[in-house]
Amino acid sequence: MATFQWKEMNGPQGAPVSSVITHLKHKTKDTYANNADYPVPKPAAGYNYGFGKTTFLDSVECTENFSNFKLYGTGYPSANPPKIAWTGNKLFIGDEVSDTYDEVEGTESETGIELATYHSEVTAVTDFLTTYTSGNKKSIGLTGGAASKTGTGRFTKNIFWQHRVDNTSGNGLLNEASIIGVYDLA
Amino acid sequence: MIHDYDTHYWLGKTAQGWVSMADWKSSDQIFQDVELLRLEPLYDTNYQTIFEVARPAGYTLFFRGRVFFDTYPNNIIGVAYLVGAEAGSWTPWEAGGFPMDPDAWLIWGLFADPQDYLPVQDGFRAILGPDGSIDFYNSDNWSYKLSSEGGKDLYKFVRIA
Repeated sequence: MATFQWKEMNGPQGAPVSSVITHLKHKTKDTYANNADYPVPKPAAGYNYGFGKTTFLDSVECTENFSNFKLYGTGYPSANPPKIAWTGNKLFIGDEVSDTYDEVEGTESETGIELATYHSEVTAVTDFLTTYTSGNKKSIGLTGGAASKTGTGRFTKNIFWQHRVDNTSGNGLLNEASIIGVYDLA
Repeated sequence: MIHDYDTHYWLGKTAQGWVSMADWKSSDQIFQDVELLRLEPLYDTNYQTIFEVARPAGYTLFFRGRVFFDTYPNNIIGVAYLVGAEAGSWTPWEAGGFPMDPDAWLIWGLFADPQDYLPVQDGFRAILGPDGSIDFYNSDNWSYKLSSEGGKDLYKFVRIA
């Protein structure tokens, strides 16, 4: 059988805590909490950023051979009142995945530091929901560079995310975007 | 291993009798003894499609289940199945693996990115998509015959002499 869960890593360098998540909630604070606290404020000009996110896929149980893990999105969602559309908002993914955890940086309630700036192994980011589609999935490496995994525990390398807001954004709670994962079992 | 989300399952005929996904993984050694491999629907409500291939001597059979899930909040949204054959035997990328174990290989067919995967050289890949669509990739010496079996579409993949 195969059962997986998403985990987010938070906390200080050298002693991060991994927590099971059901939503990737972007905030101006290093927390996985799924609530409306610490929203990313709309800037007067330029950009504000959510604090970077570090996630990975964790196996609760996998008796089969797991391989070929990829991610893609289904585009930026339109409004679903009272939730607003993603106008002026972007979701970025780090181009690199890594076994390394770097503590996120930023100013609480104001803005995060850009992912490619604070993370030692992320050199660039890509607009995830525009670039990665069902026809162009992003490959995610497995821990230790393995081609396949079985058993329990962390299966994938760390995946890095960041939310960016500009001054064309509306005010309110964004309608949820979808991130689709794909894997093979043998 | 049949999962709650599965729509189809494989079963294989060996010299010792039939084995199936209910009791075995395709990464188990017994899968290498399968001489006739079938993919069949689990329920009448699933796409009524059957894949079948008899393994010619010197070929390796492959099977993969591909799971699509919405990561938040972690719902399975679809599953695809791949059945394939390729001439020869395949050693995993990790040195010291079992000979004749193809399951460490990322096999081409599920992605249009063949340079990273075991390509179709002398064989085929047949994919039943989550929406019932069928994709077939083959070398010139493989083809398929479509017929009906009990009201189901039966795709028999065959090597052309």
